[in-house]
Amino acid sequence: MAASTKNKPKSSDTSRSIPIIGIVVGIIVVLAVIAIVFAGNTEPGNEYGDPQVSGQLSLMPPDTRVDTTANSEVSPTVIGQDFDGNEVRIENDGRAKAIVLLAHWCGFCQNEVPTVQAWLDSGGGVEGVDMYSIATAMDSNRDNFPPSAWFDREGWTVPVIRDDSNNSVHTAYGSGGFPFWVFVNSDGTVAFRLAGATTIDELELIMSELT
Amino acid sequence: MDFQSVRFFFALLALAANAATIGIVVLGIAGRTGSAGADLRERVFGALRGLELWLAFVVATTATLGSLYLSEVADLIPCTFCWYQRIAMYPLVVILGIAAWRSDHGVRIYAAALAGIGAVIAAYHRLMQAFPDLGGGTCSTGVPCTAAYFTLFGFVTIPYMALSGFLLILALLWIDRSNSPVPQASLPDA
Repeated sequence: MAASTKNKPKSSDTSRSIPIIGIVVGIIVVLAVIAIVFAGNTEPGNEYGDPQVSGQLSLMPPDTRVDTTANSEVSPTVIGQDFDGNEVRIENDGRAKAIVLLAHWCGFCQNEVPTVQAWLDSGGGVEGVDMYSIATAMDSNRDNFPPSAWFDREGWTVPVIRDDSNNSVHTAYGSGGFPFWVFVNSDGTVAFRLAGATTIDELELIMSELT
Repeated sequence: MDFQSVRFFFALLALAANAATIGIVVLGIAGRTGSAGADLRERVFGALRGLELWLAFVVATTATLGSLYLSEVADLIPCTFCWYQRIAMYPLVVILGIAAWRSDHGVRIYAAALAGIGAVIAAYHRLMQAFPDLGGGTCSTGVPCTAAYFTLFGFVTIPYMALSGFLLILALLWIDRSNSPVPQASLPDA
């Protein structure tokens, strides 16, 4: 007869199992109480702006890092506010632009911001090319919220426009992955778009070639 | 209980699971160091005799219900790697539940395989969150696996919670192996 795989618990096991079950339940209850007491009552917050957007670029192809499908399209005009309520305008003013769309919860954006800022602090940047940033895809349930605190912490000096709850600005530029760079020539047309982390060398090269 | 409290509770459960797993491993090692260690190990492991599969079932069920809460109630959309971990964890609820009910310790190898695979995936997912370059250079506008929905205590994220569950299940299966006779595969009557 085949050996049984069953090992039915004896009655003495039952008397031992009860306190163990009680201990497990007790631990769970205690942890739940601790969570309720100490988790805090943080209301879901938001830092949405109310940008006015006109124009729309074609959708950024998925899983594409460098995109040229929007080349020569007219870059959208965006008029919005930064986190201090100051107006920031991105419009066709005869100057080339490098616009970066940032999501506070994105690890690549979290790496990109201090890298770019360090470059700017050391005298980086390209003459004749203005830089702008868009705080978009804001979500208080996700990491590194609020974005205003993040930018303050990093000493971010690039003008920021707060996107709205519908991520209208992100949509207008083509909904690329983050960090999402849109490079605009001085005539207001898109040079190309770049989705994902970049290096300073790459950024400098791209910006220096904007017409 | 609001979402902030619930996720804090889940994080505390993960830490408790970590403590239990570490305790089990330490006891297991202590059991090999001498008679005192072996005695302590026998007292603790023996106290759990007959409950190992039930406890593993509870862990799997808690992890499953927790993941469903996060996606279906808190609206946190699972990324691809989240789904891989769910594929490993969800069947454990059924497998361990039935095995615990029937006191079938032959389930160990099957459950351990699923939990082991799940642990590896969860560990890699957690690494991707810590080192996003492992998952490519972009946060997709969908649900990137490189981005953590939340991080508590500086390191507890959803994949970390899953990893904690898988490791505790493996530790409980190890206790079961220590406490139970080696099961023999049933052979048909000649």
